[in-house]
Amino acid sequence: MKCRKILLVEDDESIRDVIEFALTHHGYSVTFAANGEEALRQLHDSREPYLILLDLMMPVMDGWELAKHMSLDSRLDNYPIVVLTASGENIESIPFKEILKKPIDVKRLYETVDRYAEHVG
Amino acid sequence: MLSMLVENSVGNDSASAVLRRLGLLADAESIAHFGTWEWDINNSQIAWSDELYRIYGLQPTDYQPTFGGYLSRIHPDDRTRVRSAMERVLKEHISFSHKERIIRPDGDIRYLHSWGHAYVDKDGHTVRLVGVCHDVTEHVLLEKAAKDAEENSISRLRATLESTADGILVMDLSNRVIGMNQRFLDLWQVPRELIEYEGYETGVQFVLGQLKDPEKCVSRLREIIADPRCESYDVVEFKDGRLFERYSRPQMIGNRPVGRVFSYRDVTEKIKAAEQIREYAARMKVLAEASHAFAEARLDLKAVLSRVSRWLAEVFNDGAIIRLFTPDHAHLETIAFHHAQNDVRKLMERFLPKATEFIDAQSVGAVMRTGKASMVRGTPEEIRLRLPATYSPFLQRYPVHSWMVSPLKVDRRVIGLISVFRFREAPAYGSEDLEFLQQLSDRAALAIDNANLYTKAQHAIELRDDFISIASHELRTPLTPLTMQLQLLREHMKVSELTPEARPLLKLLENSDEQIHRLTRLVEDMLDISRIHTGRLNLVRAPMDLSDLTRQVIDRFTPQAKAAKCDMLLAAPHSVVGQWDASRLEQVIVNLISNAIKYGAGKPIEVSVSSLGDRASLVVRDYGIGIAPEDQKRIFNRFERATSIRRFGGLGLGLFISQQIVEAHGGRIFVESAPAEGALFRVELGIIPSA
Repeated sequence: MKCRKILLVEDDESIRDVIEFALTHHGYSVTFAANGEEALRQLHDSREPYLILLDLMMPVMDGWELAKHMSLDSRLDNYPIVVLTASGENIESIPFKEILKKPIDVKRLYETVDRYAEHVG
Repeated sequence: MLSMLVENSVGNDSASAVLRRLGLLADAESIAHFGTWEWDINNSQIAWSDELYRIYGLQPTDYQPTFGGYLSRIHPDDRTRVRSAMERVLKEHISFSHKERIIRPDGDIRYLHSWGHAYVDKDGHTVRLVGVCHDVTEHVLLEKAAKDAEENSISRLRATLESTADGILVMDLSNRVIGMNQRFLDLWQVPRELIEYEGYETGVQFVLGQLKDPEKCVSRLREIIADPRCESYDVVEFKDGRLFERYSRPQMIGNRPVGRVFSYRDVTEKIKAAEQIREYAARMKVLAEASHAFAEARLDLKAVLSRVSRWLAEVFNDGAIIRLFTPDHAHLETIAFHHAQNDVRKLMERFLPKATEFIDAQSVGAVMRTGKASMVRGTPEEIRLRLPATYSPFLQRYPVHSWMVSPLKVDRRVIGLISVFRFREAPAYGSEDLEFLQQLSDRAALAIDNANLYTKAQHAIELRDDFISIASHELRTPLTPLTMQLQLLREHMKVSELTPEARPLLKLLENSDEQIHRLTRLVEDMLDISRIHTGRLNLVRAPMDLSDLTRQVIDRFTPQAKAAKCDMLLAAPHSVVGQWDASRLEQVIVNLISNAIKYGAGKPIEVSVSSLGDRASLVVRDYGIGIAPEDQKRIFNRFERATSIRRFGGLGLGLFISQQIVEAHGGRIFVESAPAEGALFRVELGIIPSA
């Protein structure tokens, strides 16, 4: 089952803007959060499943922490997560399935997201 | 005379038997050089045997013996004695025996031994003298020669004895002094008469007072004497520091000891010199060790100085204090101190001033002015008065009588002082001690200087690494959206929608894309450097195929290789699967291939992937400019390149990072190359079977 919505969790506004533009333009529905805490709030408020595009290094609540919270919540634990990471960050500690390395190649972004999310418009 | 003999001795024997015996007698006289004579006093007749004529060198036909003639032939030195002896014989009618020398007509001197007897008549008058004369010349000459030889050898022995530098004493088994030389008397400072007249024991008593341990010396002497066959060696120590070696060995006649020869040698200078050499060698060793340790001790100045103070204390077997000026240069602060003895060290902790006001005391002032080590010697009281008053409690406690101070000079500036001091029991310091201290402080100062430089260098490196880390993170942050934005721009800019003037913009956009990729790689390299430096180059190992990965990279680089006019040939017939970090290995392959294109001079590039047993190997070979042997090691260092920075760009990090990645995998990377013949880079990796 593919998600109808994408939640982009990223503190860098310029990255947020460009990903939002790329995905929206590609026909996805994208919302965003600036840190893990905001993201968690959105996920709790919504009943729909999301594909999470997750930056790891963020203030307030970082990506690792958010992923941990989600794995402990039976409603959220099967939401797909694609990690957006700069190489070298400690990604061994959590077995993320999908990793997109920064700087992000737009084509690979589309290929990856297409596997988990469906076009809405 | 013969008739007389016949009358007297033959008696009733037959005449022929008598004649035979007379013949025998003449033969015997001749063989034994015996001459006989008879003096008939009443008739004044003297008769000599034939042999006696021969002894006197005379012929019976030419000479008629008389008493006067006899006397005249006697050696003038013997004549008076012989005459009076003969006169006594005639007067007292006695037998006689004497020795005399005669002179033959040819001047030859003969030595004779004569015996005689006087015969008297019934009235008591001497009527006849009969005598025998033995020519003992040969015997006397032999004896004389033997005596000369003996005297000669004795005088030679004497000369030998006197010419040696050793004192010699010869004793018999009853401890009587048989001989000695002057050197012996000089060494022991004992009068000859004392030994010659009072004897050996008195001599021993006379010298005992000079010795450091008289009892030991005497008891050893008794042991030696008690064993007449032993050979001995020991060293006699004097109170004034002199040292004698004492050798002795038995004097043997055949297998029998008859006495003992002692030989004494003054080895004071020799032993002192040997000690000095030993001490000098020990100090050289300390200096060498110090230099070595100083070269290694880099970080902690205090640790370096406490090591220095310990060394000094141990080398001098004394106390050592190291003080440094406080930053305001008004005070000296005790940084380190040590004493060779534990108990003194503990007391030093209590009595040494922790921080002391700098007083321009004579010694310290001189050191400050001249920059040279200086030395104070004197009574403990004098020392106390000449050193800063803050030391008084310490100095009152310890009878320091010798004190040396040496400056610690860094950059021609005195930053502190090293002091060593010595208590009354040990001899005061000498100039060689001062020189040694100076040398050691120079080395210590150098170590401090090095420690400072090292700290500064470390700090500079830290600053650089921090800067690289911050700079690369900051550079990367805008790269992410910039990359995507450029990609999106290219995607949405349709050639057909552009005005003809704006169409070249599309080409510019493509260029920007390439530039942004290059920028990204540079930034990633910088990030990797700071990761490597902080040990954060973590690998994410997963099963992967090295052949596949290499093929992908080559495909990606085909356009670039084409642009550089290089053909790329890949030989990867089998998959080579191992547990490796794919993205990190990709970095290595990208680096090797882009280097090959960069330095390949437009010639073909051969890439191969293979495996042998548990080892995988990747080879990238170009036929370009190559690398000189002296550069082949260097190229794996950080920021190094073999070529001129103007001709070829880049940060010079690629091979360093590649090597770090390969080594983090437990593998190796090496190069084979010669200038103008290209380079072959080989990466070897262990194949860990996937779990």
